Amino acid sequence: MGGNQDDNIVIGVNELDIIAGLLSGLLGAMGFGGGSILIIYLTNIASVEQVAAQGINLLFFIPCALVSVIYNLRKRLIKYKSALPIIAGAIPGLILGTFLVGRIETSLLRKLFGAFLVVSGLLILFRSKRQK
Amino acid sequence: MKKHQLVLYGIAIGFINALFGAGGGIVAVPILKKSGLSQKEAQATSVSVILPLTIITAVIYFFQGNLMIKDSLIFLPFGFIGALVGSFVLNKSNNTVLQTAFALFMIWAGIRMII
Repeated sequence: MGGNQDDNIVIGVNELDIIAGLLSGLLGAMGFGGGSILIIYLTNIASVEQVAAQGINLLFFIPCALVSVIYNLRKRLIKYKSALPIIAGAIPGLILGTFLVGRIETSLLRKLFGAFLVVSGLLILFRSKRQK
Repeated sequence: MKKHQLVLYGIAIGFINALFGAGGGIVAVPILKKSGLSQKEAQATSVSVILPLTIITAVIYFFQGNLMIKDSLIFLPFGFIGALVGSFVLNKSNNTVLQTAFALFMIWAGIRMII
């Protein structure tokens, strides 16, 4: 980050931003939480506030996911029969989630996010073991 | 897995993805596998599930004033390149070493954020 001094100046690019962007895109496309890497980077290193970091990650995810979806459509790896009911359920879920984001205290949200990272990390560990 | 079960899991996925601005995919992949998809299909389908949710969530964040569009821009081109490489790698290998390293990193970062 670091582009807050002057609104007319393009945001200062630093090497860490580039690495974080590359890594997040890479891991995200591979299906294991590239988003959490970007949020960890933004909140812990670039000192962006938790909710703002989450917003940045949402935007960041869109072009990355587009690449992945187009690629996987051509490979016929996307299965609509499973995808559509999940999307249908997710819409009320996300409305509830955004409702909470607007009301929850930042420090609590950060802790919840941390807890979610720990649980996800453990799940990924178990999952990769089972794949072997 | 039955349709209504997928819808119920969907609620949780949408909720988590909106609350944390991330993480929907981590929940979606194992559920998609349970519904009978292969690892690669599950990973690919999970992205196609999270994409529309993320667009809707981002719009709501925008109206809540939680979207810093300018600050996001710098990450987009690099993320784009990373995603291109990642899609390619996903289809070439099943990288458990990278996955394990990433999982450990997440656990470490998560503990730091809780404390």
